Amino acid sequence: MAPTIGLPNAMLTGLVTGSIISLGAIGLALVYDIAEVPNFAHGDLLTLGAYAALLVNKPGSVPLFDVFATGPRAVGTAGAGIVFLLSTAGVLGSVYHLGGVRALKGSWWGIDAPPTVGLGVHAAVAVLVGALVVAGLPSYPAALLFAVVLLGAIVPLTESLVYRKFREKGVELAMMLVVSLAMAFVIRFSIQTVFGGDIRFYEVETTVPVAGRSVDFTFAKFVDFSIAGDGVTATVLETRGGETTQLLALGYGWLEVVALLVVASAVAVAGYRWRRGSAAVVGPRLAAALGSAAVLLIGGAVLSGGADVPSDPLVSTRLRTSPLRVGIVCIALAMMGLLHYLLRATTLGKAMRATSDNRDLAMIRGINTRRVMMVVWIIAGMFAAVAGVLLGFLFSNITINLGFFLLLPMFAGVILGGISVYGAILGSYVVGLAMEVAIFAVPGLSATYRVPVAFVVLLLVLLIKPEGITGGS
Amino acid sequence: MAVADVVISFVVVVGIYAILSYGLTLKYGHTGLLDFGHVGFFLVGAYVSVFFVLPPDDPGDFTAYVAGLADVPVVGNWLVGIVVATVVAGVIGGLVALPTIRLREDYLAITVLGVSVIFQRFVQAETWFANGPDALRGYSPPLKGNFPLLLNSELTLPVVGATVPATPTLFAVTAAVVWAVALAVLGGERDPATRLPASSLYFAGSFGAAAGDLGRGRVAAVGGIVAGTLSGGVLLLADAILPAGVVVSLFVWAVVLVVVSARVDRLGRREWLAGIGLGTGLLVALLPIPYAGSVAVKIAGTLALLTALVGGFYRAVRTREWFAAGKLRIIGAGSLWFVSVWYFVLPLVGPLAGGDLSGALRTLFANLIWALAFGGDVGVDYLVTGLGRLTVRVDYQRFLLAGVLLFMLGAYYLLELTARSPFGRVLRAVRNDEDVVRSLGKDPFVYKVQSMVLGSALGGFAGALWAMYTQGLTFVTFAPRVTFIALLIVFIGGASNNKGTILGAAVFWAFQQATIQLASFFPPALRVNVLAFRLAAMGVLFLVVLYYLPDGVLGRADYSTPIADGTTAAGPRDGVPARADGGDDE
Repeated sequence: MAPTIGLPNAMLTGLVTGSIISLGAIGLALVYDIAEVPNFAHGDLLTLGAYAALLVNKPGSVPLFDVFATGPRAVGTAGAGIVFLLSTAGVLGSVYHLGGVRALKGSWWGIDAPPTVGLGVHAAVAVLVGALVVAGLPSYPAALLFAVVLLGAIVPLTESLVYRKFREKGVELAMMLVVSLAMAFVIRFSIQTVFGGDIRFYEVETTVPVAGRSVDFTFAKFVDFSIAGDGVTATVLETRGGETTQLLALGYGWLEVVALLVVASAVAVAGYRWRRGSAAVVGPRLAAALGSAAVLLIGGAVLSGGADVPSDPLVSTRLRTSPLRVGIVCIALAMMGLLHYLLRATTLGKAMRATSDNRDLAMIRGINTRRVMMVVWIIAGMFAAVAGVLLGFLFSNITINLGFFLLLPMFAGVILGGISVYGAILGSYVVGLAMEVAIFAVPGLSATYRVPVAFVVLLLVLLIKPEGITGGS
Repeated sequence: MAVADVVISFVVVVGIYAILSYGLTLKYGHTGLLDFGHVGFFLVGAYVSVFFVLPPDDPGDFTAYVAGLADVPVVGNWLVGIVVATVVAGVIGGLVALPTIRLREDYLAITVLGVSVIFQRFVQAETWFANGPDALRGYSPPLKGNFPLLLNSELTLPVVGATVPATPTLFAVTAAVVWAVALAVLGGERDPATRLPASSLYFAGSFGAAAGDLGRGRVAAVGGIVAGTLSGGVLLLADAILPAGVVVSLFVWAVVLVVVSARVDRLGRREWLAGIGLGTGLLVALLPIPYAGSVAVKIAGTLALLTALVGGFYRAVRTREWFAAGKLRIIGAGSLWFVSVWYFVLPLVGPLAGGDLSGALRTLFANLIWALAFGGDVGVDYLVTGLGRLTVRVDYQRFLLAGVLLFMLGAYYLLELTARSPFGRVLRAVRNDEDVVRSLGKDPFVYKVQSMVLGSALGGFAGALWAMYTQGLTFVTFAPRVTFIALLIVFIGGASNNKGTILGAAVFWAFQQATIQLASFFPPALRVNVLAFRLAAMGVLFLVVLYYLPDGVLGRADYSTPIADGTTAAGPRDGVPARADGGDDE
């Protein structure tokens, strides 16, 4: 008999939901924190990214652009040329936002490079990206890349054309909220003006060869954990057409489990002590987490012995997930890692943190806060594109409300975390876990209540700490 | 459907949205509370009121709801429903405010937005509560069964239990309210800069009551009651629904003329010409939509012409000083011109082109005598020289119009009173600087909660009216978009300007109405795109208003209080509000 799906599964789903929320929430928090815009249009930026990717993935379905298409998923030379031009324009446009033509000549690099070198490097990168997109046409990764570079150029425009004008008038934060609400309308319904009301989806090759056989990474896999008298087993199963195949079975004796846990905790403590007091990229907590995760992974792989599933386990539970969902968690973690590196290890990141702490002080100290702000918008746009394109694939339908449905949990996560990047990540996972666990654990709570649960958590936290979990220090 | 009918249902919606937006005017405009969850109280009001007029739930049918009190004596009617809906919305507003009101303004906005989403999802998910995701129907608006008014139906008075002839009574009520409202509006224009005999009209319309020393509200009430009694009596004695309708309609047109000319006489000739040019230009720019054959020409032609128009306007603002100084009034004159042409002239084009002169006259007459509905199978028949046979009736929309107008003006009056009271002064002080309020010994928290309670109650009241108007509720209606619309309405007219809210609601719904009509000229497959374009345009309009007119079209209202020696502007005289500065931006 198969083990039941229980709380651990809800927590895993919560982790996935939290990752999805955090992908959007990071950009939202950056903009909220540094550019001081509580951007109601952020959800619609995700939608914009998802629709932009259609231009590469399914050019035949894009109104106006379909005249260049030679088939549902193929474009002629002119169409490829346009995609190439848009990609290069996206790259150069993003750079241009950092300070005009001088930025294109390399002024933002922080080193004295000759203008020709700057221009050359930027042009080469732009052409490379354009070539990559055109070469990858109409694959999903090319579509993702295209959406990312395009939004990297478009999203800062909302800052320079709208938000900056209002900021220069000295409007209050609440007014900025209203402005961004109007922006949300403009963006969402401009998309709908072009694309109409049809539901769309990407075409993605979802089977990949793994170890000699093809695996569809969108199909659900089951992971059964059982604890029996002699140890712990984990089996990975796939069900297709009523037939269950066992893909992997791992078994550990009690001795191995205890040894793994002891070593992992020891490494965690050691890592923490090694990095204590350090402000480097790998801080104490990160060192501890990375160390113990590495020990568990390597140890788990080395010590695993093939095992039979115990017939009468003491405890058993089943997780239901797909490689795609695990992949989304990994992508979210990787992007957080990138951002963490940018914030901690680069001058730009230092400037961003300084601007976040105190913009006037940063300006007095010679930091180009305007450029910092544009960087923030570019990053927000790129992250939004990634999140939007991933979501469009995960839900396998792209509608005009794709991003808006996610906006409220994102805001809940950001405010929960006290409007900072790290707080937003934490807040997103709290919100994601709360949503899934509450719907699993509270009887009679249907999936309609996902967003309400997020807000109930937010309300409870704000009642106790009006500044959010990490805010107000 | 005659244009008059379109305008009447338009005014009903404007009235309901104005009341809804008044809630936000109080919360945001007067107190500075940015309530992004205002739609939640609209929802509460709508559903609560409906439970009082629904019959008890029949477990056997496909709908399910928690309570149906229609059969309960005394309680089961709209009057109780509306009152309870208002109170419940206010109480819930207060309960929401208690934990959230201490938060930072942006946190507050998002948290209350979350609360409104919770309400919406609750209705959607709980099928036992209000039929879940499906529409909740099965109730009818008050007295609906008596319409259209015919001369033989009867009406049982709710409390007294007596039976009276329905038509004279209901017509009298409708006429009384419309008359009183028109009189009240006219009362605000008693010495305007117009050559029209405004004072004699006021005197005649109030049946002499204006001669005494009565306030504006009392004069309006007396005039309305006399007019209502007279028209009721006329209908009771003679079969004279058409003459009664003509008198009411013409009186309202006369008031409209006075109000318009009071505004228009302030314009110079070149402003007038510029306004007419603007209105005609808009008319011409929209011509490709009904007349061009291909969709591409419709879109490209209209967009090109509109761009030229806006470009020309922008250029004139930049280069001509007088134009820039009076740009809002020029837009006003242009809109007036455009609306007049649309209302009186455009409906005649069709019949005239077909050579049907009497048909054109009939259309004109129907639009002029707006208080009556013409045509159809049901009604009272008249034979009028030159027009032929007319079938007239008073339909339910007109009755609803009277009610909504009354409620809207009532809300306006209450808000003006609030704004001018000491309580209103504290609210504005809370908006401007809480520390000052605290240092003067008032607790801002208390005032903010009170503002939330009152504003939410207004939202709930509007919700009950909305339930009455739509005769069916679904959770989809109460999306966060409604709050956005209410905010837009509040900002168009001026956030703390009570008159501005009515103007904002009218502008918003005029835009809405116009674009829906225009969208019908496009092939069905493209209508989604056209309607989406209009929402995007609305977003742009919002940004333009926020940037160029941060105080709204009518500007800030002047609520300064007279000081004892009378050095400041004259204050309110028995509740008559001082005029806002009329949008003059010099």
